[in-house]
Amino acid sequence: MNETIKLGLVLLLVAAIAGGVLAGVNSVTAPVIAERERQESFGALLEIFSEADDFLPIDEALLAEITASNSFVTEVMEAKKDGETIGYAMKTKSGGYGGDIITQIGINIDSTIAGIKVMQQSETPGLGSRIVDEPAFAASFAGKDFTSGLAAVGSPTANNEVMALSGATVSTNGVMAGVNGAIEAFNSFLNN
Amino acid sequence: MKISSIIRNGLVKENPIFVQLIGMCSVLAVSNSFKNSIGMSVAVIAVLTLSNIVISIIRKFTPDKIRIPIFIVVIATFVTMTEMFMKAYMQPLYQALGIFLPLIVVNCLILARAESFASKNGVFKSAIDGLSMGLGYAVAISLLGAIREIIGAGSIWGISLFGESFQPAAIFVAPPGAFILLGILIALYNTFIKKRFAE
Repeated sequence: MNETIKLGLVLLLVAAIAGGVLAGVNSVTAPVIAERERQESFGALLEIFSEADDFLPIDEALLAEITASNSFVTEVMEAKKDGETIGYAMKTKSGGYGGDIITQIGINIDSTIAGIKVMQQSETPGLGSRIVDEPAFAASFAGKDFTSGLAAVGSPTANNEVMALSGATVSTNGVMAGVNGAIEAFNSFLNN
Repeated sequence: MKISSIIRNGLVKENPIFVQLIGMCSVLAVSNSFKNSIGMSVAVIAVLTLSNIVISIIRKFTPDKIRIPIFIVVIATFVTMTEMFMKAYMQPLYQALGIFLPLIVVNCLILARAESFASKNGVFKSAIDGLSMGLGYAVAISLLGAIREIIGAGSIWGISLFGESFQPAAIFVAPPGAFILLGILIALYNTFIKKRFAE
């Protein structure tokens, strides 16, 4: 009995030291990571809304309302050009095959997709990871009209069809879930 | 054991990949390009050397019954540190390695060295052992990565080698290519290198 407690305490001590060291390292790297993610995020916003000259976060109360009713959208920014709102950039989090997929989605006020960019994913390399490795995948969303919903197909032609990656159905659906979540948020709260 | 034989063990005689065949998961998965191979090598060398050093330092206070959980905690700590640093300062590499970076925790190469060497030897020798085994791993995965990228994608370090008309054998960057090539490399190793160490 005594020995069991002693062993437990030794393990506790080791784990506590490890935890302390990691907390120290984290306090150094976390700000760097956050800053990098912010920059990348803004860079992605510009990639999607190349015409925009400013991005502003939307009203906090409205964002709280959106996130309360929508399980995908985590962040909404208004894209501005010469003071006029030209669209909304939303960050969504949806489930993929290997973990969460974080996607930045741009929605024009005329109910078309301005563009999407997968910001973070841990899908299977070579299969699901094609959601970022194949530029054609994200590109297939740009300009698509979503008034009657989007459909993912093998070779998109119509104006509401986007590319489905064969062999990466779960990953494709993960991105689609995020995009549809953003569309839903736009239709319910922002489209006026 | 002499320092020189520790180094030779890690690099050639007991090469973790070609001879012991341990830690293969990441070797097969990440070696689809030379750059990823080098990145993975750096991560493994860092984790292996540092965990060997720490495990050797604490070996006298480590109760035998719970040594494995303690080793795992130490290894996981270094893997998490490596992950944080890579995420902060080497973002593209962090992205490329993906899940295989955190999976170093369960790479049996690391635990094997902790169990069979670092927990029984002094700090300096353990450090040398970690470094040598890590380099042995690096040599194998880099060789695999370089050949797979040249044959399978017609490039090295992302730079195209043969121009547009070259038709790469894409199977070599796919998982089956890794198995085929690894088999060939082990056969070559056994034919040309192994017999030098035959007693």
